[in-house]
Amino acid sequence: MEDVHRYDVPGTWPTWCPGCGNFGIWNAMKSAYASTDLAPHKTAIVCGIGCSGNLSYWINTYVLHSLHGRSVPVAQGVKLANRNLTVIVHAGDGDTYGEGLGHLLHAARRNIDITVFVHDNQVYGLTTGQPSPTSFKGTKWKVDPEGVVASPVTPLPLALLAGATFVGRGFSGENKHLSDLMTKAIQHKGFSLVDIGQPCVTWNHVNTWKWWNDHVYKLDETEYDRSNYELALKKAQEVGDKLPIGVLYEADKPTFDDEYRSLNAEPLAQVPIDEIDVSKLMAKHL
Amino acid sequence: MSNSQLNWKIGGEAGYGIMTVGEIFSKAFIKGGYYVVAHTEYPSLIRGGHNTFQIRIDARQIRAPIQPVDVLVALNAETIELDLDDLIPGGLLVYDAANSKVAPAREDITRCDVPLTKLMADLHLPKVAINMAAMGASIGLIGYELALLNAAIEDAFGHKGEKIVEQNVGAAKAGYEYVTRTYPEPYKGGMTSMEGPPRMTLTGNDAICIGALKAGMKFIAIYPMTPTHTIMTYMAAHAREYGVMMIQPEDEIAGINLAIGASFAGARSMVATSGGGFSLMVEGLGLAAATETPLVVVEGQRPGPSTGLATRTAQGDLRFCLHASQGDFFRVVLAPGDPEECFYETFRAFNLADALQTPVLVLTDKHLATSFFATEPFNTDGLHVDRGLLLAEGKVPPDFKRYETTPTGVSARTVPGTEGGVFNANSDEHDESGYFSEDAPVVATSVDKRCRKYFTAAASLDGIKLHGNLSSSTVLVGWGSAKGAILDAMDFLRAKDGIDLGFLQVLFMSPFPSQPVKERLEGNRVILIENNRGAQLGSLIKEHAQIRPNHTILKYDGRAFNADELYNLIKEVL
Repeated sequence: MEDVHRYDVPGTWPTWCPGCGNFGIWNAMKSAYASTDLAPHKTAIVCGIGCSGNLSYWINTYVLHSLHGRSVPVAQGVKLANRNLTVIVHAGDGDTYGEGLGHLLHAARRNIDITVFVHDNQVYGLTTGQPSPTSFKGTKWKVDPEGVVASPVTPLPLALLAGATFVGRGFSGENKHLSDLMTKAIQHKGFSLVDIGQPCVTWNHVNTWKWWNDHVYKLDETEYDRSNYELALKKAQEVGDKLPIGVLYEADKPTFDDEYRSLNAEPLAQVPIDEIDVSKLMAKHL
Repeated sequence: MSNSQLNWKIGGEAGYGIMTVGEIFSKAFIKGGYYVVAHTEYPSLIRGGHNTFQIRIDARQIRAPIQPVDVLVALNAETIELDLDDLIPGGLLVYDAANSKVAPAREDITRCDVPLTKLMADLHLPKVAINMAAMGASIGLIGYELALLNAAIEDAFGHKGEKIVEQNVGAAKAGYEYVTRTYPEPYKGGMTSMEGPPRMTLTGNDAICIGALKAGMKFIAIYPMTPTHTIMTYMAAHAREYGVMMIQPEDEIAGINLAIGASFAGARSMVATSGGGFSLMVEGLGLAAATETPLVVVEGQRPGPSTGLATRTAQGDLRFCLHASQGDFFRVVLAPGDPEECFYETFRAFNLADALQTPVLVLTDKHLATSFFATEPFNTDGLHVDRGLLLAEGKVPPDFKRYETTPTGVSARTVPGTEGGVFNANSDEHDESGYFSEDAPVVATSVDKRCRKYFTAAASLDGIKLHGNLSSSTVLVGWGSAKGAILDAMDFLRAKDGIDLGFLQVLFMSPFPSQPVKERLEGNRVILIENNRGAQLGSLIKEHAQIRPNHTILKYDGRAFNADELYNLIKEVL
């Protein structure tokens, strides 16, 4: 029996709005952690700022609740310093595709072994409902009454083009499916991005629970080869009436750490530093 | 009677190895027992432009440049046009008349026409080797020892193989032999090497790197920016040997956040940048402070605002570093004044970051970061790595609270991987466990806890150095790289005027050494010397010690103080 409650913080309960898509992600996340048997003390979760980042309070692992947009660089630093940790990011669409889009693409090209879960509700929630980088073109908001002019960011093709070795999409309403997807992403060795669709019941009146349920279909219920990069790139750009969920792409490639592994047998954070000799360095200047 | 001091300057366009020359020529004299200060001036260009390296050499201790030069080596005509006035009467101009359309306009100097280009062509060496030939010619003209130049060339090129060393030594020899045949009388009777303690040819950036490696820094993120870019070069050369991961991030924002992540995970971590890059890091500085994650930041100043002067020097970022990032929190700011202090203060910075669990800034500038100074090897005997209240596996108490309220403001810390130490390093305001809180008393307690570190640090650090005449009622006050020019100007005052002044060097900008500063300055005449427009240290002294300087000597033209210039400026106000 998987014990999902080992990841709960006793005496706390999330402050998300009733019906928020984050609850589904939170539950799927704990199931995924339990199914991969993540030890809380060997797991480092880095969160961004927003409703998604508040998840940091309700998860009993090491957590760094970082800055808006900067969770991906922080997470890479954690992993580079200690490769024995499982390092996972939970951040939002504003976080990851707005403020931190550049960081995401650079992390993907490095193929550092971290997993990024983006809670994508297509809206800025905590600041009371402004359009986000993934809000659909033409959607109307109180700060954008004429409708969003720009096209939405397409994170999945961008990540694929940047070199991500695991790319997937999930939906917070498909809990078992999402949990399995998260498990695969965590188990993947290399950089993983999973974009998770979630309704914001308070501010997003376009991408509602009904909208999501009407639009998603499961890739693994179709004929699909997730090792085919060209196919994945095409599938990742599939928008409109139907949105594929599941693993879009997975590839086994050397990680950043593999390239650097010769540096130290031990993780950087565990190398003894008490007696470092710099006399050879000084001699070079004599 | 031989000569014991020399000021030598070489100029040419970028791409002709002026930078290489600076280190090699300095080392040839440092190996011979001389003190050397060598600084470079260059525009922000890759090819062309007017690049110079000026090398002051003296048998007695010196720490700063002076302006008038004994020998000017002009690798192009532009150097003659721009720098001929720097030559003292009777000085030597070394140039290749075949390369120069303009005839040198001064009659009171010795013109030494050396056919550098032809010499290289005769030896079938590439034209760029004229820099080596020019050094060889200079050694011949000033009557110094070619063997020491050869040794310095070998140090510089040894890693490229014997053939490259031979070519460069051959080029130097050709220049040397040409001048000893043509101009047999050495300048001012010649210079000879001396016995003495061995010294390193070292920049401030080199010293920072050695200090960081000694301190066990294992992770460094640097986005290239002058003048701290040579830290990258140094670390790249030694990263593997010392098991250090250096990463070039996509920007400074990523850089500081990578370093914070690595430090959170337990590796000693550092970033290095200049003011513009630090502007991008400011948000991250606050993250390190809020989560109480140790971090060392090196800020090598150059003139601002904005891009400013990319390759020149200034001390204009002091206030910025003291106040960067929103909210009330404490950061340590150290301002070393020479490579020796760069080494020891960088080492100390890592211990302080761990002891106080807050960001520590090491503030330098282009002059200190990239000039070469003769520096005695560092004594590492007394240096001990102290990781502060970092709990080892098995030492975590059952009721562990990461942000426990303590009298020092510092609480025990765990890193991921440690059983029983799980916590939330929370950028939101939080309670003792790290859980977010907006409860008024909890908030005030947390703010107090972090700010209390100021007093914890202040109690254990002195933060000033007193130089010169301790009982002088006129006291010079300065910080950072201005230290060298101030000390040398004091030497001039003693030697030429019999005036023996005192000098208060402020080493710690935060916590500010209020009491020692007050004690030394109160009731005395204070002359403040800074490389900025706003007298930023002066404003700190007013704030913390309630003392107003009687005179201010400020320079903000992108150049460091010359010792002779500062001597005259001090005499004007005495």
